[in-house]
Amino acid sequence: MSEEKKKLKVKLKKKEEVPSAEGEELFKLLSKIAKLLDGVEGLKGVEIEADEIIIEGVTPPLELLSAALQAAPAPAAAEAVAAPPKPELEAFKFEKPVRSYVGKFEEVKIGATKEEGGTRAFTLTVGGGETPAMHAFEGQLPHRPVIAHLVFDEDPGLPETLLKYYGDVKDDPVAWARKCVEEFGAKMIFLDLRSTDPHGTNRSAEDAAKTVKAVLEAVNVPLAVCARSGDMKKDVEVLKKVAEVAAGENIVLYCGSITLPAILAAGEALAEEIYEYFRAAKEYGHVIVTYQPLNLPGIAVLNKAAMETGVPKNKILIDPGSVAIGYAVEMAVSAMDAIYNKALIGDESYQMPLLYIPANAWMYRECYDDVEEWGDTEQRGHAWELGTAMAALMSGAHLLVMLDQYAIEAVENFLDRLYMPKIESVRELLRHLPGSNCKACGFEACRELADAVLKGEADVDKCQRLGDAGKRVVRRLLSPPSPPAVEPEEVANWIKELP
Amino acid sequence: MAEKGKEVRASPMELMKHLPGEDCGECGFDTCFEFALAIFDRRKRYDECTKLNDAQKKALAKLLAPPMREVVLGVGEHARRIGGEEVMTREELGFFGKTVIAYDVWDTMSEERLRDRLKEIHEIKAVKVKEAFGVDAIAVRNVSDDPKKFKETVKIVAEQTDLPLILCSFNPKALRAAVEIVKDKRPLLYAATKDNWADVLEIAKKYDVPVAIFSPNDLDTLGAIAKTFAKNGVEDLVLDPGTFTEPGSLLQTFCNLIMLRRACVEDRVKEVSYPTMAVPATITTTVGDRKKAAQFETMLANALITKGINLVILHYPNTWGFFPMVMLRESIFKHPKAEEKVDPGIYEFNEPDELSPVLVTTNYTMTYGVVSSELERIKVPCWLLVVDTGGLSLDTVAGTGEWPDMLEEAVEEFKVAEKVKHRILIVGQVVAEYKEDMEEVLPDWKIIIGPKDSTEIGPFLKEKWKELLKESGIEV
Ligand code: SF4
Ligand code: SF4
Repeated sequence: MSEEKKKLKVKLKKKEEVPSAEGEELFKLLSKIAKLLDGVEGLKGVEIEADEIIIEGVTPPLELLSAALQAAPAPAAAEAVAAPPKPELEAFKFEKPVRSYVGKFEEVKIGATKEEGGTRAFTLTVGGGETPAMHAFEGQLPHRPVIAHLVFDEDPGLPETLLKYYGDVKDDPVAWARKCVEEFGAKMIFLDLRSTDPHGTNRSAEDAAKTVKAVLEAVNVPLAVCARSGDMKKDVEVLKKVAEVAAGENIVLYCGSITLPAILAAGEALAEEIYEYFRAAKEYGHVIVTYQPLNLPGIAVLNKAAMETGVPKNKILIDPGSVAIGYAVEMAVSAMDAIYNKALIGDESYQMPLLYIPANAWMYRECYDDVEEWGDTEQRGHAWELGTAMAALMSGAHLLVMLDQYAIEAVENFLDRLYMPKIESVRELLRHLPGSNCKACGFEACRELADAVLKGEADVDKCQRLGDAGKRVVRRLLSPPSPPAVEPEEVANWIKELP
Repeated sequence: MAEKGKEVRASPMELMKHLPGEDCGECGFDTCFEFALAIFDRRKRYDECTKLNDAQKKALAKLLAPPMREVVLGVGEHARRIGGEEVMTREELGFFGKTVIAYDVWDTMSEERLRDRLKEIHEIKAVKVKEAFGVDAIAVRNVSDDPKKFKETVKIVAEQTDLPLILCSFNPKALRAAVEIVKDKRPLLYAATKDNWADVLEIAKKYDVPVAIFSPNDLDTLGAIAKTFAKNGVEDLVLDPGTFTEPGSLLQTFCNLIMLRRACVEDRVKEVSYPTMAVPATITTTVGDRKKAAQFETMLANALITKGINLVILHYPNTWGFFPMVMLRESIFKHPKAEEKVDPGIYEFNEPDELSPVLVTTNYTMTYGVVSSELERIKVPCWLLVVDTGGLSLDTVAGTGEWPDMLEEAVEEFKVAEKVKHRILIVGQVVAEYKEDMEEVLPDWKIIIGPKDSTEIGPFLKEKWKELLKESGIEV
């Protein structure tokens, strides 16, 4: 028996089996030999290979070999050697987890040109999309989300950060809207008629309608008008008047104070104001918004009631409750998730595009209060609205209403990277330049370089601050490759390439 | 072969079978069945039942194992558990592996700069009311490619921090040198790639540390490496399919991450059932301006957090961006059915002193939220005594008649008498009818009925407080 035991047999089979414990030790020793061989002049790069080594003997092979290693100098010949058990890379094929969806989101057109009975220079289409948010691997993305610039009809007490943009226009909604369009490149204006609040300035519906009329005359982009005083009666009264003066313009009428009965019995009629709101939109051809914060059944009730009243399905938007980061944003995210899940399985009460108002972040002190331990106030404000916008976008929002021009430009930049449009204007190009205005390119400001690049008079290489990646971004947007390129090299070396 | 198709989770009834059935209440629930419901929707972990035997533990662990592996980074109180996800959208159940937010340092910095930067990273705090959050982890980048330098840097970092470390190098020699220094701290090795995986595998095996696999836009190779590692016993893995940020490729970043998640939680492809990570810092290379770069990486990180990514690495440490990012993370990863409770206690607002008023509220989140934000807004120094009502609102407890005792307990437990010189408590109107009962259990205290609406707290305090103090014989 003991005799038997001594006759140790070590079998090594490369590739096929995991070696025995002795086998592993043996491999280690053999690789040591390989290393020794490496040291011998003229013998660099020796590979040890073994498909099968069978060692039999009375002394355990490990001891034998150790002894041999200590005694013998490195062998001169390069034949008899074995490699460490380098595992093979397992085979794996990733199958794209693609699904098909029976439902999809409506497309809603906003604005009307002359031919369509309005006076807008162009129209916008929001919505569409046939997959969960960002699932471009299994279907079409929705239309590029539109950012409507928020304009108030009276100063809401703008904080410092925002006064930089609107200080000169804050008391004049017409000038404000014009500035957004002409200077900030707004493609849509969202006019908040806060002065009609009965608890505040309490301007009349007629006065408010005049403001709307004046804004429509001053700018030619699609418009949304919002009354959200919390007083449903007053808000609907205002929006009815607005619907009338904006007849044919296909504006969005946003009512932020629709209240549903606490318990909705089946078939129960809703408050008369709600139907008035729907009818006004229907009669004058506008788009409505069904707003029920974080209340899915409520949204479905309103959507059904609107359609029964004769508002077409493609003239409805949903606001799932536009809360900001830190103020139950997770519930809005979940509400949007749930709406997507329902819409995509074909539930018609939820297939209207989603409107979200990241600008609401500015209602909270985190955006504007100077609190030392919260860090730089201005940057924090930008980041708060921007972060809220990201949460909304990643949850599939189709139309964003935003206030901070910094945040707006950053989101547009992000959307450019997602949708890769061909850049044709200075404004669009400028958002992809550093914005430092350092003059190192020989131009007085980034804007001038942008202008020269678009005219073909200069190359973006002139910019001394953009790195290779930044220049690539600009080039790709100036002439978008098709299909879009994903080059692993872009990030392959990030560990070293970060500044 | 991977198993396909959605799997059904064990039902509460099935879980019940493996609970002791003693209804002893030690888990915080009155009955085992309530506890079964709680572990079913993952409000609790099964090991919070104190009476489980080994067989039961094993059975529950198996029944409750989420499709995505849980991976622990770091050790001790700063360790972070990531992964463990089982749904695509938080609406379906919840997200669980809270995004670890890491900032980087690198090995070509001077020692002085390195120490400064570490200090800066540690000083970042997001404070809201009484919760404070700091940076979760530190990524050390091997820019020099020199193993010795990397090792030295990691050594300094390890001396300065208890946070989990992410050792970033594609050079196995550097990883080996560095991990030796921190082998007891469960650092994350970043990363195994198609070129170095065999060496990294050996290191991970030897030191038993988690590993990130980096395979930019190549999910076949990503899965192949993960499969190889798992087969060789290294299963604490994190997947990085690359954070592309340029036009056309940014979208792919999200698609890759989403596909990995779905393959894991829905199709149960075990080869890729690991937490995912991204490096929003990569967007900074496209921007050309520091401030803008900082905003952009924060923006991208917020997008990734919303999608439930488990680990992000950033490059510009700052509080203004960290604050919203952490608030978003805490929200997204909050259990949808989390009990709406605040910790009872005595909270300070606007630096109160011993003559400041004491307001009383319950630990019902909504009430607490409304009152606390009002107190922050009006900037009147005061104390807020949050009474443990089991998360019920004041209206609700008022009806039970138990309020006076609850209040008395709180005054006692949180030593209110030591905080202030006066003996006045301001309570909400809904419990006005219990004024006498409250004064009976708190004979030293005078109970004042406060305003009905939270927006009236400011005016009430400003107009009435001095008068009240005077009435009780304290001159200001
Ligand atoms: S070099 Fe670049 S950052 Fe500086 S002004 Fe010119 S375009 Fe702007
Ligand atoms: S601790 Fe365990 S045994 Fe006791 S009630 Fe809870 S689940 Fe049941």
